[in-house]
Amino acid sequence: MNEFGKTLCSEFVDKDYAHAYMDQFYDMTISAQIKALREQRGWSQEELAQYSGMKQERISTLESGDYSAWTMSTLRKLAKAFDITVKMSFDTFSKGILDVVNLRREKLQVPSREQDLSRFNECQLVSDFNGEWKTVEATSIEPQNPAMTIMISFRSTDLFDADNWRSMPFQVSRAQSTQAVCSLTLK
Amino acid sequence: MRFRLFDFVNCHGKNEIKSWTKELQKKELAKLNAKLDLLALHGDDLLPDTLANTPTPGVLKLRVHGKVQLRPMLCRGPIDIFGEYTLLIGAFERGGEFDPSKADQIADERKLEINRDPTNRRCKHERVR
Repeated sequence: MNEFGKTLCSEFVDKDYAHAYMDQFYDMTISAQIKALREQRGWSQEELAQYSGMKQERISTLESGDYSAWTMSTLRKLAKAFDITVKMSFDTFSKGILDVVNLRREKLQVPSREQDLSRFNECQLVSDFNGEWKTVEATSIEPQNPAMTIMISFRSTDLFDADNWRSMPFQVSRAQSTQAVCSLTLK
Repeated sequence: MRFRLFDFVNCHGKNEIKSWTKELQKKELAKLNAKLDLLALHGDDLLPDTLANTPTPGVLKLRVHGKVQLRPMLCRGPIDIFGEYTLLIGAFERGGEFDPSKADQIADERKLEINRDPTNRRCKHERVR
């Protein structure tokens, strides 16, 4: 897979080629995701058409993998039907290559708003080394001491400040991931 | 890659698919490669409509839309139908007609040739950049 990623990287030296490749890939991916989301919910094309206010023939076209004239309006209608949000953003080609090599059917599935928010509500928010907030399953955090609940709210970058970390009142068993925040033990 | 891709090789040892692909414009080539990569990674599981039937049973067309409608034809297998695809002929579709005409029938004949001599009548897919 690494070799494949490198192949794409070398091919993407050509701007026109890179854009055409990724346009085609994302067109196919969004089609595949509409189909995956529909099947995840056990809906027929007719049912999705009904919930989104479109015709079944239109759903069939959107799922075909050959459609390229996407509009925000269409995507928002589908998002509302699936009860999920739709995000449009610009990104680098290297992220695009990772999207290609990491594409999985299960990654295309998205839980509905109610399922998602219920799960989100049960998670803890922790910050990683870049200061980005991530969710962690509450059951994976098992404080050995009440003070741990305070530690969890620390930014991990704070913990490893070069001048201060040795004086901190804990030991760190792993220092490369968000998990490190959860594996602190008090000295 | 989950699936292996092969190209048809003619009786003179020439990769016919590579020859056809080399003539494509850059954007068409990029779109074709994107579709073939998805096929090699996931088969037609993610997008069943990626491959469409032709009038000839067992011969499928890969639809690549654009200014020029690419319709390379291929088959599952034919040696390992669950783990590979073989590109049989490069073709276009213009006004509902294949170019070359009877491309699906030619593809079917090539499939038979591969079945008779899989070692010499096909090779691993050669990616054109």
